Amino acid sequence: MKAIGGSGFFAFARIVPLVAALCLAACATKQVRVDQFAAFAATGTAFTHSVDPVLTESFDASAKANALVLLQTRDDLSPTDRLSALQQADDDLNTRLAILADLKRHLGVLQSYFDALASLAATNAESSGMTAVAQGLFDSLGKLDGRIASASIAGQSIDSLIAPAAEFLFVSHQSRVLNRELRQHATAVDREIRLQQAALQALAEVYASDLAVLAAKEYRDQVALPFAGPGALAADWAGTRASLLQGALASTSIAAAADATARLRSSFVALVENRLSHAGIAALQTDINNILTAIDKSRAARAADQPSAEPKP
Amino acid sequence: MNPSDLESLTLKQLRATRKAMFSAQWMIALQGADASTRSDAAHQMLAVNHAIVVLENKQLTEIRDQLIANETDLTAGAQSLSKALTRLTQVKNVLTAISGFLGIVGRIVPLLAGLP
Repeated sequence: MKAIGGSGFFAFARIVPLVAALCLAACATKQVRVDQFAAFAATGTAFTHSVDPVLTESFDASAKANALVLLQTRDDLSPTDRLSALQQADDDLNTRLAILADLKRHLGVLQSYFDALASLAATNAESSGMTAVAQGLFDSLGKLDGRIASASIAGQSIDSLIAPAAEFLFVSHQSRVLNRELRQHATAVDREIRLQQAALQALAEVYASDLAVLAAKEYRDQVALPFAGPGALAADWAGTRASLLQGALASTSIAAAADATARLRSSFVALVENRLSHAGIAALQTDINNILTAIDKSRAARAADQPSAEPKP
Repeated sequence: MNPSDLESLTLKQLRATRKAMFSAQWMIALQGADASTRSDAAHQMLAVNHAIVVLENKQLTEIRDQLIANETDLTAGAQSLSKALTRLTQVKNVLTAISGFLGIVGRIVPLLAGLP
């Protein structure tokens, strides 16, 4: 208590604002680092949520392309061969379903990692209760010696410095813990993101190939065969042709997901190297939005293709 | 060319073949063919499609297996983060214990001061 009341107090009081300023600067730096982890965890979570429907989308396209092959060959097969073909196609699709189910389940594991990272990064001195405990500690000390309760440093009551001090201590410790965790598991997380990228790239190729079959069949039936035949063309033939040609160029949800995985990986590398910026996170969020937009478009197109449930007059 | 490249190239050619079988040219060519040729073409189309799905499933299975192999490390990472969160809050527990102890001392000191 002498330091507060004695002559040393004046020297101490001159140093305190400088130390406080340095602490605040250090705290801000460490908070930026903690925020990088929080931003990465949040976008990682959004990524896993957006990939799940993409996998469903992929299966839908495969099932449709598969059905078109069966339908096109049906008239030229015996009943026994038809059933064999159907059985084999079902087996192939069931195998695909099992793989996609594993990929979806695995996304849950990745989700758990991002959730744990988000929880650790989102905790602060206030929410962890550390500020309240530090305040309680100060109050207890005040009970031991009344001078502590009324003491001030450089014109500021000690009471008002409790919360910033607790925050500084907490963020310093938190930043250290997050960096240590990152070092320990960086290899596994990097491997995970690379594998997710490989899976989505492979699925993007599968999806593109299946969509190409659907588009080729539609183009053949609505554009090429009517044009080759002797009959009159439909009034909207040119419009249909233009629309089908343009549709083949549209980007798909799975291609967007593969792009987002590449960005997720570069964000992770930036996090490891302590240079993850707001711009990097914003770009990743844009990629994730592109996946969701592509899924919405695809769902809208599918809904438009569905026959109306309304009873016919 | 390594086996993986060969597989990718085969898949690419099979996909192009399947797409061509949905063209108007293919359909018109089959319309003029006899029943036996049409039956052969149907079987070939089924075989091409089956080969495509089998190769695709193989590629996806390889990646799936590697992802599953990585699960142990990933789960360990998540558990380690959860433990770290617990340790962070343990700092609070220590402070709480000290605070409680100081509260008791604060009540005892005035009592001791009042003793003769």
